[in-house]
Amino acid sequence: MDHLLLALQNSHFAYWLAQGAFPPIITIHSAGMALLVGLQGMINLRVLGIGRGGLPIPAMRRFMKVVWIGFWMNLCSGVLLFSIYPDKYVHNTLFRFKIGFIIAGLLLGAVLNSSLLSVGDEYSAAGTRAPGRAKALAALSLACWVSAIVAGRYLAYSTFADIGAGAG
Amino acid sequence: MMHLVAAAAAAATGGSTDAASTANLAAQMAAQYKANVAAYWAAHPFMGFCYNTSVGEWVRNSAWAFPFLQSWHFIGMTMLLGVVGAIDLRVLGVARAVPLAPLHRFLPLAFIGFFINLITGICFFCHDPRVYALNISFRIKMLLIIIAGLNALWFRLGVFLDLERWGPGIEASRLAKVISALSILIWLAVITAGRYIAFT
Repeated sequence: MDHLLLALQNSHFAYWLAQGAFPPIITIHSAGMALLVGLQGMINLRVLGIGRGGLPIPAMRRFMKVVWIGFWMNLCSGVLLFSIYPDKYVHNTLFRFKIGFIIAGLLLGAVLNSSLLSVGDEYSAAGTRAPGRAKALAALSLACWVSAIVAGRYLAYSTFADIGAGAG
Repeated sequence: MMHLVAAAAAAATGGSTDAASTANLAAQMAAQYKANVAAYWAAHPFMGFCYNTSVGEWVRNSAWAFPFLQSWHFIGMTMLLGVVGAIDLRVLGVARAVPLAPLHRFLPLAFIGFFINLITGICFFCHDPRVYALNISFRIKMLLIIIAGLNALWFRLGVFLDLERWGPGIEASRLAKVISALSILIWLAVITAGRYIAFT
């Protein structure tokens, strides 16, 4: 059985799959990242007080549905990327850090959204300041997502050097 | 390409059936060909200049320059796409509760992201100008960025003055929606072309 799997992994078909499927999957992964981190970042920056004049926090939170679209794009493409070379990821420390940052970012976002920012009309006025605890969570969440991006980039060079994910 | 060189080498040795000498000559011709190409590009004023910059040398010689620069390139992309995407999606009717004029004031952040990517992009280019200059995905990406810039200029000249009117819950004009839909499509195409540079 191992023999058969090894033969498959070394086959022209597997090579073609890795070469042919890889570019579209990482493209989706990058676009999803831009949606997820880009819009979550905008919401977090507003909570931190940037663009406070004229932007109500509850209105900005409507962008969360786009953040979730980005998240599902990246979960699906991420599972596919993982399945191409599973053994290269399972023991990789950078990969574990990346997943850790993502889980932390999601949890912080969930806490921020479900508790501190959803207290009725309290923050609906355009110029309202978010409470200090919300700002702290927003800053931490931003740091987690940026760290996830950086870990992902270094990860690409620690595992995919052999198939030329280099220039980009 | 290599079998042509081998055929030429075989012809040069008078159709010799001596495989070893043919292969040897083929290797020599291939090396000469590579040297000629390198010399040609080294002599190219612009490519040669880029290649010989200290930045180019640093990216070529440092093992961690690439992931470091790529991290910034992706952070810059996220800043640019986050701001431009939020504005475009709001124009298209997503999160309509957001007033457009104050949202548009995030634009300096998109410019910061763009300049991070311009600088890191120049570093990538200098590390091997020939590879990028000849890469079709890179050429398409550069063309798409210019088109995205012109599209943004169209937004600035065509609908910028209307932004103040598009407060919470107010729908943007059809023209603005067309420009914003184009903007999202072009930027997604820029990402796609960028990711394909390594595979073409």
